[in-house]
Amino acid sequence: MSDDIHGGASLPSGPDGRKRRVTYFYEPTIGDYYYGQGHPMKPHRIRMAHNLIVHYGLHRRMEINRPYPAGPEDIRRFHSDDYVDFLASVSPETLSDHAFSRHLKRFNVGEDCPVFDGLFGFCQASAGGSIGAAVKLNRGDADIAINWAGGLHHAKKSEASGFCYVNDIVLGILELLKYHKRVLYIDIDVHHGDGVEEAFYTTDRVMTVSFHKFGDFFPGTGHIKDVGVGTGKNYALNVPLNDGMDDDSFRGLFRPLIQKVMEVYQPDAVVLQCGADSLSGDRLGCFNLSVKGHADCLRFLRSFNVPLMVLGGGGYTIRNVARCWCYETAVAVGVEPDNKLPYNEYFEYFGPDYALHIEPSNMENLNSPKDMEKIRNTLLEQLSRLPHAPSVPFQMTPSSEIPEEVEESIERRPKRRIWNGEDYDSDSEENRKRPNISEGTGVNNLTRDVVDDMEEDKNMGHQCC
Amino acid sequence: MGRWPISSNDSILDCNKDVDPNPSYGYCIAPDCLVEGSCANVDHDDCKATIRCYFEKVLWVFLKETCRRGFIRPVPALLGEGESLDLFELFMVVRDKGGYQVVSEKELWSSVVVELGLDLGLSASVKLIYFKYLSDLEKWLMVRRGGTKLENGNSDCYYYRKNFPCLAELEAKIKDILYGVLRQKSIYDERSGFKSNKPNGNVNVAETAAEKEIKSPKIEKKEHDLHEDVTPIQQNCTETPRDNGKTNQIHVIGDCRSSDAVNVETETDSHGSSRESLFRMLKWVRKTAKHPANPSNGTVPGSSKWKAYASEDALWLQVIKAKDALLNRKDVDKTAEKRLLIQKKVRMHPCIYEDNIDDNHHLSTERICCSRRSNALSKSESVACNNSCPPVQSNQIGSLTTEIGKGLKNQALLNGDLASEMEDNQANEDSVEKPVPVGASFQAVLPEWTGNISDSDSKWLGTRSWPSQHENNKSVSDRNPISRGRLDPCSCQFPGSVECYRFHIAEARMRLKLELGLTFYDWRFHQMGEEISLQWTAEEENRFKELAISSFNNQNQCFWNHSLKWFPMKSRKNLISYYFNVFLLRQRSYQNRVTPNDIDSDGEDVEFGCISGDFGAKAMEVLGSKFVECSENKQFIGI
Repeated sequence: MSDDIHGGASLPSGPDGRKRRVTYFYEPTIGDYYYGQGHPMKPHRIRMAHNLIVHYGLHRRMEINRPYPAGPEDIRRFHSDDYVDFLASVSPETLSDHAFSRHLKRFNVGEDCPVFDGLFGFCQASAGGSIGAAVKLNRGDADIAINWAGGLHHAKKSEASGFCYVNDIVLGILELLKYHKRVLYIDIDVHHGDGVEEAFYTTDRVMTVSFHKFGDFFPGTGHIKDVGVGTGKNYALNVPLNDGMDDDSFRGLFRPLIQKVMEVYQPDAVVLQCGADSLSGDRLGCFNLSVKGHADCLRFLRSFNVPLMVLGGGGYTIRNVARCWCYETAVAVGVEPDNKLPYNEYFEYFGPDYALHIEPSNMENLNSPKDMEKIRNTLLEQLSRLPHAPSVPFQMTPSSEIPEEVEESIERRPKRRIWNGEDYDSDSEENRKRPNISEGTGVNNLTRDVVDDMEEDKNMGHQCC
Repeated sequence: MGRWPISSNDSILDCNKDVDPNPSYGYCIAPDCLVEGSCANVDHDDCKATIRCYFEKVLWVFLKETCRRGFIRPVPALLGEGESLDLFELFMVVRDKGGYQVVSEKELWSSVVVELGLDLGLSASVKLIYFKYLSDLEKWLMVRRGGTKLENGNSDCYYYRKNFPCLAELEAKIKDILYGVLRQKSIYDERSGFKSNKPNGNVNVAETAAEKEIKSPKIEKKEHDLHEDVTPIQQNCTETPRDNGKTNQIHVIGDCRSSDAVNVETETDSHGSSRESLFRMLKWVRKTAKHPANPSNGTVPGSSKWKAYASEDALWLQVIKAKDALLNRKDVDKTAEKRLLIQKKVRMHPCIYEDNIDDNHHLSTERICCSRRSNALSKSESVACNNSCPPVQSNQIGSLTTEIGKGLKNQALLNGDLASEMEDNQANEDSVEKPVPVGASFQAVLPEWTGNISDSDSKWLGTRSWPSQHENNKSVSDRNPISRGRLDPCSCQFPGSVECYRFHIAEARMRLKLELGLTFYDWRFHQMGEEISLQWTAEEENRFKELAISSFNNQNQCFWNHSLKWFPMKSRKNLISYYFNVFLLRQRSYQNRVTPNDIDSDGEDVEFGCISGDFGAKAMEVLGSKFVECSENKQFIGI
């Protein structure tokens, strides 16, 4: 593993060591927002991460912007009018007014998602950062755009959920879609990225891939059989996992799957939600990833040389969130920080070892290799049913008219096909043995159903054509 | 779950287990029973457990009510030495002696204490607890008792109802207990009706009622339903004769808070009839099991013909449905669980956090309390539903299964059918899942692909803060390469001590400030870390510490609003900032050195310790550097 930790899927023609232009959005007041006593979501963690980043000197490799706060009209690009009006005007003081109180239940505001001081300002900063990141990528000003205040993937069109009010990811992707035909969304938060999946469930212009704990866990969605509907069928990928997911198992799924997705879907931009609650020892999570294992996802995606938006998300053991996002920022700018943390204002938070990396715990990994293989094969099967790089149907614009930035990005981006070559890593070897699927009694109905479904789908597709 | 105090939770479970489906038992749970002890004709233990359960529900509502009015009553009630006091026992003992008034007048508190098996010295606190927790409840029960004897127009009674609108809800909960068992049954009927696609009358009603509960928790609708639903309950509920108008009035007073209660009532309307048919069915099963050859059992046709009997109310058909339901049982539990998840009744965050009780904004407190209560009630309902009732089920229907099994086997009915059905059920279990909603109100509207970047407003680029437009000190950044960590070991006298770290952190800040220039302030580094304590006096810091320790140990207290009163000069923002930047840091610094195996930066109820003094002047002394002192103190004070 140590051998290819820097390797990713980088190509002979485009070594991964090449610097990326990184833009990072940071709202300096973000750490002052406070969900309430005992609430596990703490925006303070973003400030802690920023603090570490700057003390490591990583800012010198980035452009850092303060986000423009998204206005109600911008947020309405995804969210419903009445919901946005509600968010924009509610406050703890006015909560009891009839005008607001009657909406609380409808918008699911009050418990997981309390009304706190400055709620809308927080949403504006989070959404503004993600839209800003998208615009940065659209303009070709950056290769990677980071917004740790974003990634609030549970928010629905007219409903708050799971500590998320405004879905900055959807807003960011909508912005990307103005300029990119296909956007790939990848979610490594321990919770299912239900809000984003739902928002793009019926389109093939956004493919959503979520790795999450499934089974008796919030939000309860993300079954492997949820694959999208209509045009979006098979453009939602769900990787249901069990407790104790460790670095190796995660990598063994993430790399081959994403490799395949990149090959087949050929996205023009990628959005990575880096929810840090999949780290070991998270207050609400149940995975066992190290910071390195978590960041490996980013490292791998970075190697594809596709415009990349990197967002935050969950993460409820705040010292580890700060560690993780700091390290991932370092990965984005292409440096390997010392394990010994530099002295910083929040130094004591990181004791008693004061180190950047965390050791995974010895918890049991309930994901057996067999399960993993089954999931991987099922999903690879689903992916193999996809037509290569779906078109944008109604757009007749010939590619030559695309402004120069694209020229640049095409030049920057070597042809993906090359990865089909010999350079497969060991994980991919297993993929070739796909016939394993029928091995023994291990095949469950589930796997078969999915395959059958897709078989059907394919046939139907043929009929349509 | 977390809402119910654990002690009461247990007893509720006990209680529901003890509720015998036999209606003659069920009716012993009447409020008057508490006051008069009038359950002589029933098994005493059973009754007591039932009453305890009932009592705890009533009490809980009362305490919530008290809490809503601004008085916090933590449960379980704790005596001076932190031992919990059984409020139910206390109440019963005092009741036996004639109530609070009498006990106080006759000075019987010491004998109450003795009867409870407590130390005599505690009589004052026991009395206090009784007064704080139970006196309102006692009054209410007395009035209720009077109320049932007097006319409905009794003004006192009205007063209490008006002041405790939750009582309406409560009454519904009582009914909930009474009919809980039957409701379970109807849910199973729903399943069986669902499965066989041939619901009879009862099943149909139950199904719609359940669907209603699941799909449309709209209060208005329920309130509308209420008018029709009250009547059957009234008929069943012989202990509390009231006219419909009255009940409705109470529910209106209870307004939105009673949505759950109304919910319950909506369902109960089907129970009267379904209960009857349940007993008929059970009787038939028993008979068939004992005398399989008895011709009066009737004949059961082959499974292929079952559809033809869809509309009939034949007993064998019901048994088959019941069997289906029982086989589906696991499935049902799973479905219920899923539905709960889908309804978001289960929250992302499982811990209890009491962040919203807001003394300053009293109205909002009320509102939140209200929404919480209904949530808690629905929780308790699900407790009753998911935890407590399955045992009831397994007692009652478990034996039923065996009987059905026997009966059917005797008639050689099963053969391959059952096996194949079981397989079906297995498959069903897997397929229970939530569909992702599709429609204009869920999906995003995609922008057209223009391929033109001018569509992206450049305002979104925000304000660039780095690379800074201000002058930067390049030499500093050159000296400190990117991605370098700290240099160990240092030359401090006590490396690793709090003072050592403070010194190095101060150094790092200095360096950073030199490098960043004004950006240091743009990014608000001046408001990060322990240094913000320089804006606090030692006295304020101590007060904060004390308050924090006491509030975080006591989950019921809302720290922030409490502390606002103590720090009139500080804004809420100041306090929160202090909490994250100073208080938590010190707590962590203590943990790092004293309990390194047990660190927690995220819980707010952990034990607090501090091994270092205040950061202010004293820390400066330790640092002893003129340079640091002047650059830090002068700049940070007064920001």
